[in-house]
Amino acid sequence: MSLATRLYWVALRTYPADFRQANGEEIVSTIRDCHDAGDAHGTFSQALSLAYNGNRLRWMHATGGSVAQTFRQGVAWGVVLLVAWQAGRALAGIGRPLVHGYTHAYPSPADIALAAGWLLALVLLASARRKWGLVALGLVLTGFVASQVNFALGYGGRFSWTFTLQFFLPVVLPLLCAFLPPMRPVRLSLPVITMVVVVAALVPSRTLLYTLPGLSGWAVEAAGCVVIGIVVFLASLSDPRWVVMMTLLVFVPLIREFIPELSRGGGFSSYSGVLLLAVLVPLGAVTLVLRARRRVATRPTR
Amino acid sequence: MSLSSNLQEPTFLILAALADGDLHGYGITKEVEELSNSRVRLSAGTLYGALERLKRDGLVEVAGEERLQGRLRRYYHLTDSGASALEQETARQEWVIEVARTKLRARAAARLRPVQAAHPAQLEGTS
Repeated sequence: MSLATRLYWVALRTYPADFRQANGEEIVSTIRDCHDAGDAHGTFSQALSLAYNGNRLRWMHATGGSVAQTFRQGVAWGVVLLVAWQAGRALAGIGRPLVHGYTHAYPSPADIALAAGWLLALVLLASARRKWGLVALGLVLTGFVASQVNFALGYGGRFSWTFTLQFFLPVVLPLLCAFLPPMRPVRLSLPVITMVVVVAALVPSRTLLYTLPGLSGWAVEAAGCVVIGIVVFLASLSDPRWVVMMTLLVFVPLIREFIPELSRGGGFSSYSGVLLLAVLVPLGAVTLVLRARRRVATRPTR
Repeated sequence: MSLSSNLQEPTFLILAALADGDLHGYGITKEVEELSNSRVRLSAGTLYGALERLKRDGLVEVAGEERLQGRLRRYYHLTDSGASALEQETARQEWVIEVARTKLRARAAARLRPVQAAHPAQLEGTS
């Protein structure tokens, strides 16, 4: 097998497996025919075209609809994942005094209410009760923002919006995607439910692991990152919705890092980073949604 | 067939290439290149992406396959629905072309017409 043919087969890996098995050999034969006849497309151009079209087909296959539909389902999954993450964090927060022998502050009633709110929103959204899930999410987001502002006001010293935004914007901004209407009812598959449980358990397990003797902090963090990395890599190979979902999750630490950089008066790169993450990405998502809705509206009924 | 309103140029050309006989992948590529006067050169990814959609919509079907010098060739056939979609799209394009021609003729006629309603001040300036 020549190097070019190997490259085509690598590019063909981007196609859904059933399509690749049915058409892979024929596609490579056609490209070789084209090359023998002095085709204008070079080897890399053909391989790039295969990779692009393979990904497009994979995205369309994931939901049996359009690329936009797959994107929106990925966003819906990502929202559930983020809520799971927040619920885990809130639970770890109120459970920390138990683990660390009450050296930490006792949880306030507001903290307990917030943790319950996150859990409720998670259960409702994960069980496809979207309407009530959004109501719960709206309430818990309002409570979350209020608690962060209240914390910043009572922290002492000068009130800083940048400092406060750093805490609630990374959580609130991606979760606003939950209010984009999905094109179809969103059902969670078994792998997604597994992922949601893993993500929800990550922060509480980390809190628990820190109490074990002889386990240094960086080892716990590194192990967590490796586990997430492997799960995401494997998952992204099978379904593009996982990629969207995980992108939404990555959004949180990215914004958290960009805001302090912005407050330090960083140059253009910092501002463009914030612009990209906080404006362009959501704007792109909304544009895709609107385009998809228009397409659905203009499509004649059969 | 409602799909005709969504036909993009490569898809239209693929259907046109298959209109007078079955062709395999490379044959379609060459035919499309000839039909478009070498303006559209389909890469394999674009060709098979379009063929997949056309097969799914029932506009094209596989007529048979053969193996030549170890290379697999599948022949594609335009179905009746495909021919109908091609006819509709052709009629639509003819109508668009006719509208454009009419507008261009009107534009040319307007340019040839002498300036009759010029402002008196402009006429004074030229005298």
